[in-house]
Amino acid sequence: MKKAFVIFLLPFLLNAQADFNVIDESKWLTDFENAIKEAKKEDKNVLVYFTGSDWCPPCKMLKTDLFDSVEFKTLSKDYVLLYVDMPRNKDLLSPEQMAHNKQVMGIYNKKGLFPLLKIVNAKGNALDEYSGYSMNGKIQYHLELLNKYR
Amino acid sequence: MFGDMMGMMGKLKETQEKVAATKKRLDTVYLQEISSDGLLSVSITANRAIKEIKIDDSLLTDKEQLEDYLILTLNKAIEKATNVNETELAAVAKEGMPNIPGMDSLFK
Repeated sequence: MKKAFVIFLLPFLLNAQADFNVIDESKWLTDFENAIKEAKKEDKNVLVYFTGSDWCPPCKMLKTDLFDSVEFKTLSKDYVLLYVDMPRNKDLLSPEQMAHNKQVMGIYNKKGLFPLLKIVNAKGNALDEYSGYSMNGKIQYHLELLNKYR
Repeated sequence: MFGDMMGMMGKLKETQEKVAATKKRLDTVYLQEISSDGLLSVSITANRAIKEIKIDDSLLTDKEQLEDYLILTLNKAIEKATNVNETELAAVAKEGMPNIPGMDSLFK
């Protein structure tokens, strides 16, 4: 019975994993301390992306329109990428990851805005941010922000 | 019969709570409407609260033009926010509705 239940759930679990893989492929980190270490090592700024991956419509569209774009793939090479997800479905993250993400939210996204791109330097100081998305493919403002701090 | 009724009441209460939580969450979802030439942009929450308006200096010399830009861009922003708001709330409400034939069409 248990096996049948797992088999039944498998497509859903794989789908959730596949959804995250799109982000993972672009070398997104999920731990703030690691991101800062990496930024110091490589002398780069950190791009922190705050998202509600399973409930925020503009976040979902931004993932396709911005993060899959050729421009982003080029610009992102000059950043250490940090992915901070606050999903509605708590099963999508481990309790430790959720606690970590809440902590990062408390420091860099106090208003709790989604989607939010935040630029943080290797010392952990916030430099700039851009919140929201038009949901119509206009990503020039997001790209301007990334160009400014690369 | 009463068991079913109680179950249904419980589910409705649960749905009401989910709808309230979704409404609260939509306050944090930021949408943007940018004029086609990029001279004016409006930030609005998915609960239709306008949070920011950015106007390029070049629009400040012509009052009438600025008014037209504002009307057009604000209306588009409100429409976009309304779409997101209605879609999200309908999805939550649909989840919690009992399976009654014909009910589906209410949420389409």
